[in-house]
Amino acid sequence: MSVAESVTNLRTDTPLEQLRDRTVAVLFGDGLGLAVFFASLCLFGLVWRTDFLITDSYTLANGLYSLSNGQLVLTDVAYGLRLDTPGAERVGDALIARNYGAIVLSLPVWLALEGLERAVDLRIALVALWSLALLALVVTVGRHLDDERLTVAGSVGVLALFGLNVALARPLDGEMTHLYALQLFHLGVAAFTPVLFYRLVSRLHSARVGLAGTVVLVLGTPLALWASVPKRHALTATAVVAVAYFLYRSRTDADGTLVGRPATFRGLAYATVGLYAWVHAPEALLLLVALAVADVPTAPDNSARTLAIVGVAFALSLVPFLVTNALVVGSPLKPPRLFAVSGGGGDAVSSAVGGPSGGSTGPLEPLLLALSPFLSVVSTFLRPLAILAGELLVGFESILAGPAEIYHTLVRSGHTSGTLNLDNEEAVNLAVLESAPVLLVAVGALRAAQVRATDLSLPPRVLPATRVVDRFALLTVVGLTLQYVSRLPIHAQITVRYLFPLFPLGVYLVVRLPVVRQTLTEHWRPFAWTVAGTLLVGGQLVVVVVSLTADGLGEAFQFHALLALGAGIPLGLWALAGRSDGWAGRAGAVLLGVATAVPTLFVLLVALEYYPLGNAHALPMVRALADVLTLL
Amino acid sequence: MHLFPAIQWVLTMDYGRGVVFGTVGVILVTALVSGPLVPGVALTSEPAQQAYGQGTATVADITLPESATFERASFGAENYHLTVPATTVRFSTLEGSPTLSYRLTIAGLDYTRTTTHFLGPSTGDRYRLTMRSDTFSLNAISQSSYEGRLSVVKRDSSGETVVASRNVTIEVSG
Repeated sequence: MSVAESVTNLRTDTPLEQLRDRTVAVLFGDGLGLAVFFASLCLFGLVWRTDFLITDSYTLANGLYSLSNGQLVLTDVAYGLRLDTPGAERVGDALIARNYGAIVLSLPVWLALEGLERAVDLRIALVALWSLALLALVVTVGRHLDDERLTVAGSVGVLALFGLNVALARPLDGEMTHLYALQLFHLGVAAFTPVLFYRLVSRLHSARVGLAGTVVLVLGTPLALWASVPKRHALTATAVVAVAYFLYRSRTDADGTLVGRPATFRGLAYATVGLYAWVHAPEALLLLVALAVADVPTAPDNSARTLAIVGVAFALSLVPFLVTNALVVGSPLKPPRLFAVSGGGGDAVSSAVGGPSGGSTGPLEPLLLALSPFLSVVSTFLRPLAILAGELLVGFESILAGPAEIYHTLVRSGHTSGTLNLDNEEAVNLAVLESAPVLLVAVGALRAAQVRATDLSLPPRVLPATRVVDRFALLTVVGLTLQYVSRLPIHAQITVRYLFPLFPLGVYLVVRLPVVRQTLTEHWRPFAWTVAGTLLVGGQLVVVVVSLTADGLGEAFQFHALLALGAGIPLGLWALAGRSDGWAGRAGAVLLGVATAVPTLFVLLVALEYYPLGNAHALPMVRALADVLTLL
Repeated sequence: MHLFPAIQWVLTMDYGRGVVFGTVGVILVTALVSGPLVPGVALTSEPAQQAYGQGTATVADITLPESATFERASFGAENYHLTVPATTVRFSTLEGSPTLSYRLTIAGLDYTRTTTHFLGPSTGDRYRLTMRSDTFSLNAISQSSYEGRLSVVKRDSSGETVVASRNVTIEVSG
């Protein structure tokens, strides 16, 4: 053993570094998971604009403003022009905000920002935080590759970028800290979507597939665009991937650093759903149903003890949600916006919630009267389920009634009433596949299904870990689509943000296809090079094409839409052919790379050019670039 | 030996660690210096507010285009885009920070569009004057062509002056 090695061993043995290693293992899995976390933070920071992208965020910002003054109801118009912004709801005389979980959890971030402002210029603080995240990425990657030169060169690069940003820095409006706190909170939670995704897929298959799949998720979907937007989408994405991850761990041998029992992971899956109810109850209810339907009938162990653990975990996770509702609305089970619907069939459903339950008459009446306390408890719990069933039914009917609408939502937006913005009639709302063309690989599932159809035996009652996660992902994708489809497409969704969990779960299902998995394993080099080449070279071409041919926002968006479909359709055909060997595999890797990089170009241009929000970029160097770039 | 563990740690620190911790140190110190704890240092500053429309500009030569177009949008976006060709302005004198506005008025549509350019020391003798395109919905445009009037308005210390103007035909294509 050389001297250097003995020193290294001594270092890892210090209690502080043991704690560090344990923390990394619990939160990020391994060094690569940590690198994924910092890389995501840096990307999200790059496209972060410190202003309002959608009006819904005003409700949250005013909510946090009120909460920071000790009020749960909305008190002052600190942000925007009015209090009754989308999502604000009237309870008695007061207006209440939405997504209270996000608001409450952003409060510590706000306090930290306020404290930071006492000591540091806020803009320099953001620049410093971003630079430290980048430095942490450099150190983590350097450590993983055991390459000290990389660490040194990277540190010098970070220092240069920090200097550039400081040189270009302009003051940040110190009055809008509530918004920044919300944005930082969402951004931080959003960075765990790729981390949990990496942990799930690397456990399912291999670290290489996990990492390549995470690249597809982070770059190939609009995750970065929504990461810093105070609206539930980034949180929903993290919640569904967390549920999938915990569900997987609940059916594999326990080897956790902190958690040693599969049943605990099962409890954590339900607890994630319960905690998410604090943010958006209707979607949490759907997640609960999808999770329970996938999990309970197929679980290896449904003993009373296990179910008790799960039930207790779920009940505990609901506590913040129930307490908030009790404080805000006066009833623990009637959350703000339980059935958050805007237009469509949902409104009718929504009004039914508030109404009294239908009275019953007949000979059973005395019996019902005697049982009424019990029945009211049951109906309180059953009513949300009935409403969810009603919503899914409405969604199903609306697909049958108007298949064109779901086509415009999922496949091709084009110029239809739903995809236009409100004021100048431009088609600025992309469909799901236009936002994430890599999901077109899903047509490859037809082939996989064909293969499976030859096997006529029924699936076993107890499903292994992978199969149950597949089932949860499929149920959630279908359920969520049905829940929202009657209201889609709708203006101001940009990338069908209402169906946001479709992106992480869709990429998960894509990576689960054997042909994709094998291609990413064997041909990861052409994949990585294509992603880099498309971003660096293709990015410049896209900028040139947009500046030469597109005159308006709608035209530019539709160009990106067609570009994405153009990248996705050959990929879909390749997946249908289903070959990963030889040249077919290399071609597949290249197609996957192109489809992964194209959405990133869209996200970058949205941040720089299409919706720069008055060039309110958090990083001065990005603002400076946006200042000189004029395409439309 | 055990009296100064911190110093000993720094001395035994390898080169790579030194660079990393040095970088962290520079970032943190810069951040602290930027704040109110260290008075008199300002790392962020608003861009100098310039009073635009001041100084003098004398236009030596300008030729306005004869026509503009309503062009059908591509890529499946169903709009018209109003595109006005850019024109080149040549200055004989340019001092201070005057502004130059490029304006199109279409009486038949009750429509005016102005793009104002802020000039300064970096402008130079020749300047390419552009007008940002605008979007119209399909049913807003019913004729095959419209008559409009283009004008260039200069604003400097001597006030507002129309430098050039002419009638243009806006063709609807596609």
